[in-house]
Amino acid sequence: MIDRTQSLDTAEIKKLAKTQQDQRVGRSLTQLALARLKRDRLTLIAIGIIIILSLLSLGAGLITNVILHVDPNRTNPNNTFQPIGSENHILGTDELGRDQLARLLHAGRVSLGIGFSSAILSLAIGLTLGVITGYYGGTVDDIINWIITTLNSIPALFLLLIVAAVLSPGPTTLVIVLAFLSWTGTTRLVRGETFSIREREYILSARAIGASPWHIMFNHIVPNVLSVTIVTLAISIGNLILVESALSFLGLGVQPPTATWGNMLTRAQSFFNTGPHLVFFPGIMIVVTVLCLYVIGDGLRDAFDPTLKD
Amino acid sequence: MIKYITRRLIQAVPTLIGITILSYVLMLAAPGGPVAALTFDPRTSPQERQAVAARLGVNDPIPVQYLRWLLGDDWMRVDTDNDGLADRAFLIPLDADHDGEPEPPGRRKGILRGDFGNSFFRRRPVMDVIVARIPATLELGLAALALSLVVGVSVGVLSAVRRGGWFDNMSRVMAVIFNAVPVFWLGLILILIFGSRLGWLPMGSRCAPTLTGGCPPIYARIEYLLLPTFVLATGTIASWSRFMRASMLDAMGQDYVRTAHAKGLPRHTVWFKHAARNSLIPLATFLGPAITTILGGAVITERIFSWPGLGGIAVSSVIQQDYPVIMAVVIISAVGTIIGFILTDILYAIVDPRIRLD
Repeated sequence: MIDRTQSLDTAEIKKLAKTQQDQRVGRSLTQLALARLKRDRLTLIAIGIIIILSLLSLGAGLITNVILHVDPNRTNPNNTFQPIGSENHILGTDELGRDQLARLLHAGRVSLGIGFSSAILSLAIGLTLGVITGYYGGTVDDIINWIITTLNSIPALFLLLIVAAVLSPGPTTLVIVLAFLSWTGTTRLVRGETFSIREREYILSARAIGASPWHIMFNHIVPNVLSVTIVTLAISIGNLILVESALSFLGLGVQPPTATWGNMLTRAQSFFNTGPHLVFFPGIMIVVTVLCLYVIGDGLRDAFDPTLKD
Repeated sequence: MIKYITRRLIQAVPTLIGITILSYVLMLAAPGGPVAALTFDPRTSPQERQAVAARLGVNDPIPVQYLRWLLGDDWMRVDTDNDGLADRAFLIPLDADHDGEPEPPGRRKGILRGDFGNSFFRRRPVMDVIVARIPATLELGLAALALSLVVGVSVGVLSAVRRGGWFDNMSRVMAVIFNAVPVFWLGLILILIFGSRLGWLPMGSRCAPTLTGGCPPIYARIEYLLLPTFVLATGTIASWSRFMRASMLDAMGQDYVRTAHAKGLPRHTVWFKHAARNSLIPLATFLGPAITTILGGAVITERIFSWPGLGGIAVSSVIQQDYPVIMAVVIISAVGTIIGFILTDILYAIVDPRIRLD
């Protein structure tokens, strides 16, 4: 027998059902979440700001060349510490006469890029290890747990300091290092979820018809734990941007002349009298970005929480 | 109880081994390393350099080198007849540099016995450098912990009691903002406002410079402690106020609180005597993570405020590539964290009699 309700479209249901109560069409979890998200104005504003910041950073080269006519790395010893609103330099210049607005835009590209890519890489590592440990348990689980406990008992910044000392990283290395030090949270989360999914009937049936463990893990378990981890992505991007900026501030992250929001503040303490605007703007960029990412993270978590009903 | 504590201490051993392996592997990967640093003198001939390297044990297998770093070499090469030359060797050759004479006995004690070697940069035992720095970090860390506990708990309790009110909403917004502001930028802005512009508070350091180099007792230099403590405490204040609010709301929904209300006790008595005291219990679990947060935050805070503590020395050693000091700071802070986590578990068991350990 064919299940007719599956093939009916909305108009047909409306024709068949008499009352409004019966006309309601079932909606998937994602549709419900998107509907909730559409009403959450704060999250929408935050998403808008992040999109604008990303576009500005992506177009940084174009904007500085075509509109501002400045080079973010060109120094000019006769033009240092210009105040906000000076000629050709909307946000003034820094201690070497470089345009602050151009540097902020280019720095955004590095900072956002490092935050996004390391968060995604860390998610991939955490998800893979979490599913494997959760699925196999036993010795694999013990070994991964030992690594997690070890990594978690060293304050993250100290660990980053050693790695920075050993590798003196550029942007790419920094992404890899940040990802390799921040996967533990995701792994724990995924491991717990996998433990419970492993016992479900559909996994048992997949095993019964001879599916390989690899197939079960990546075609049956991963899609089911993905939503839990994706929701944490926004918050983890925010955290990684904070860590990267702290490391660059200490002079151990991305090296000048490449600008990041963190290393633009490295020498800020000596500008207190000459250029307070150089202390203010890079920090504000970090705060706004991280704040928006946290708000998005919270909004997504609320929207995707199946226990919340409208 | 003793059985539980022993078990937790034994559980910490593999973690500790993991930390030492991780640190040692990272140190091996470091450019230069101890031999390059000790034989950098251009007058050293290649033969001498090789002899020094052999005596330092660089040619030994890596696991043996790790053991030497961990446990020392005074048991690997022993001098039993007191002639200044070793006559019994274990794991390593008696004559490492092949000059036909045995080497002098090993003198290193290894990090497990507190011997982290000498600082490359300061030419002093690492342990002396570190021990001199610990009081300053403890002072700042404990002050920040106390501040975040007092502020976080009061804000959390008040916003739970006035749930949905303006204070609650304000504290929620503040908590998110406190988490999103980078510690170093907050520090810079506060120094800019209170230190540089208004001139109310000092711009950094632990006390005004003195001739003897020491610092007066803490109550005489509170103004030096204010800004760094606040900056270091912000993140913990935010998370503790959130956690305390949730815990307090949970307690306020319990039956014994309803009973207390029903028998006609004044609202304040019910809130602050019955509900708040019980909602403090889960807070004990937050102590361990808070110690990690504060130790990590100390790196940046101490750097900005020129606070002479462990965090400050960690950053300067990284810049000077002074590996023995970095290793020591990392291992000591990791041990501190592990002890903090164990203390948290024990504390939790003490304050909540419902938890049975054995």
